[in-house]
Amino acid sequence: MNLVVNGATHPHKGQGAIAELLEELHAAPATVAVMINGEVVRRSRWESIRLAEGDELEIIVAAAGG
Amino acid sequence: MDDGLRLGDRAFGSRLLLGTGKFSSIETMLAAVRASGAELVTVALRRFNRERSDDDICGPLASMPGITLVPNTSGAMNAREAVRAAVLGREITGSPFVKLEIHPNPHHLMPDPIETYNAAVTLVKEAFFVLPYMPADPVLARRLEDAGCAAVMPLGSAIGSGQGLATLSMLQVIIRDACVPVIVDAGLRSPSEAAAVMEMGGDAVLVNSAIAAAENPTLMADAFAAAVKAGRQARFAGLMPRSEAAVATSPLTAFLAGGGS
Amino acid sequence: MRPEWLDVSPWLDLARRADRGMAMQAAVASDPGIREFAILLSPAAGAELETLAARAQALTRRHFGQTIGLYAPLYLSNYCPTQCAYCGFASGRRIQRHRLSAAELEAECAALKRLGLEEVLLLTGDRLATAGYEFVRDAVACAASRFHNVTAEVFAMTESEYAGLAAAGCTAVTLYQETYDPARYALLHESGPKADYGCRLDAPARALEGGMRSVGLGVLLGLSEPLEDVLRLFRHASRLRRRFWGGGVAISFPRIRPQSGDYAADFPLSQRQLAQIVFAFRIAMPDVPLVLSTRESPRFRDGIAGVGISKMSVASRTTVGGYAENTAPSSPQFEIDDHRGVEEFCATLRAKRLQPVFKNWDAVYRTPCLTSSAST
Repeated sequence: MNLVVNGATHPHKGQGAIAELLEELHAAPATVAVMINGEVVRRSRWESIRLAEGDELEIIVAAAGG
Repeated sequence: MDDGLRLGDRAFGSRLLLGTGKFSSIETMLAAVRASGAELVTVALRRFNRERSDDDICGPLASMPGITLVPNTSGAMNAREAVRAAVLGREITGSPFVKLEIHPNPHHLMPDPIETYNAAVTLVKEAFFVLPYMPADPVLARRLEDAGCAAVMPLGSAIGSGQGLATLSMLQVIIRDACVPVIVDAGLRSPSEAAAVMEMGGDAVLVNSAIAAAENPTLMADAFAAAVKAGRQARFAGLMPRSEAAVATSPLTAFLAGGGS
Repeated sequence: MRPEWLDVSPWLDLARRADRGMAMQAAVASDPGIREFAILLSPAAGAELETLAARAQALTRRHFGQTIGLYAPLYLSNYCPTQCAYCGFASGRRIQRHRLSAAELEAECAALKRLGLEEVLLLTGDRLATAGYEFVRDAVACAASRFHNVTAEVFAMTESEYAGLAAAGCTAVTLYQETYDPARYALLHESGPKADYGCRLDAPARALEGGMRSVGLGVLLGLSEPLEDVLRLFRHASRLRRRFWGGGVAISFPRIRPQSGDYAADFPLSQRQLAQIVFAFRIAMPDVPLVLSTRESPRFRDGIAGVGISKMSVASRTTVGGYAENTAPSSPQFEIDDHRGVEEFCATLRAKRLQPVFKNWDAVYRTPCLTSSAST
């Protein structure tokens, strides 16, 4: 399915599980926060979520700055 | 003498907080953090970018002993965005602390008092330990305190300006009246300024540019740590009084002469 | 049972034994606290009264300009169920008692306005069914429609009662602890509502919670050992200011005079000692209004106006009413010593280059002040 990740189109090759998506992106799950369609989705809910075509995600990490 | 800097339900030994921005490299930043002895370190949020995945600082920082990460909401333009940033920050770091900073004007980077207050109210309800970056305004400081913030963080001068304690007289009022810790943040340039904050009763300082932009950040971080300690110690040692004689001119107490009950 | 903040023993020693050098430093300290206050109460500081006076005058000028706020007391009732050893209205005394009727109150207010006054202090005895909350509130409402500031110096109330007074137009509440010494307090207040030390102690905080803009505090000098009482008063004022950052405090200095009534002070205070206490407060709390009544002599009042003292009563009557002609007669609470009328007193102030001020701000903008702190 096609997703929008961090503002860019991303072809997702999995079943829509967040863990799968993060692996595709080479993002370590412990270091990110996930927003789906504008809502922060807490880590504890990741396993129960199935992404759908056209979902907009933001994958956020901590960085040096501020 | 010192039972530590109490923020939220925690106590910290170091009264120097560090920002992680503007360093020439991650390694330099980590070395400076180590040299500073800081236990509270602020981090920003950004989109994950796999090309910059080695920029991830969460790992190396979080694995340093004694470090508590404090996500900041830098980039947020209003309360709603700041709240969202805080929630994201907590998700990533697991830290209950958040440095609330909302500076809509990119030139002077002055904090927005209204959005900051509104965000603080919401975040306190969400059980964050809110550290609000704010203008050096004594009334706003009490309002944020009343709202439940864990500390107040009045600015010394504009972020990165190196103008030192331009707000000195206001900081003195804030420190005198506060019932929560006062952490002076932004604009500090030299360790002596950090010492001055501690001497006048400030509880901590947050330093970023002064260390990151120094020629030798590690050495500067060490200097700031020493200055914060020295200033606090001086306060407890009791500074000698300034000599300033009170001058009496014409007799004001003649009305008391001749007894009288 | 007693709050720990009443313990001023760390500073009592300073107040008794500070030396001249410490006193001179305390007089010019840039951020004075209770430590400086204690030092300024010491005998060594008392030997440098002129220096303290100069500093007090400078600070009064800085914070109040060269003005003196003026007000008049208006007793609404002298009926009282309580036996306070020192008070002319004590329940056991056979005196002429009266309670103002609504019409008399109107006439009294009109008389005070004719004198030029814009601020009134309403007083009663201790709480009585016939002179209780409603009576005070109605009097406040009447006075607030005529005066820009109405202060109530009545019995201790609940927070919601204070809120009711504030809504009726009361801007401030004055409540003297009389003495902070619990043992002396119990001795002096045998029975009646006022005998409850703790209730009275917490009343100023309740008033500020209820929306009063400011509270007036004080001890009746002469009731107890003055150093400790005055240190505790300072602590009380400091704590309230810190907690209620949106409200204010004022300090008054009622003193038992030898000739007033038949109660002799167990710890009599001289004029010099009173002056020193005033100067100490001004130096250690530079921005707090300091209030002096007509209990003191004209000479003392003239001397200390603007030298620490920033607010004074004038043309006072301590009978029930007494400004209007037709109010029924009654006994006074205490004898006053300064009998000068408004015109005469104002002329004296002006000769001292002090400007008498009758109102600070217009009543038009007034709504109850609702800021307070959750933290103690």
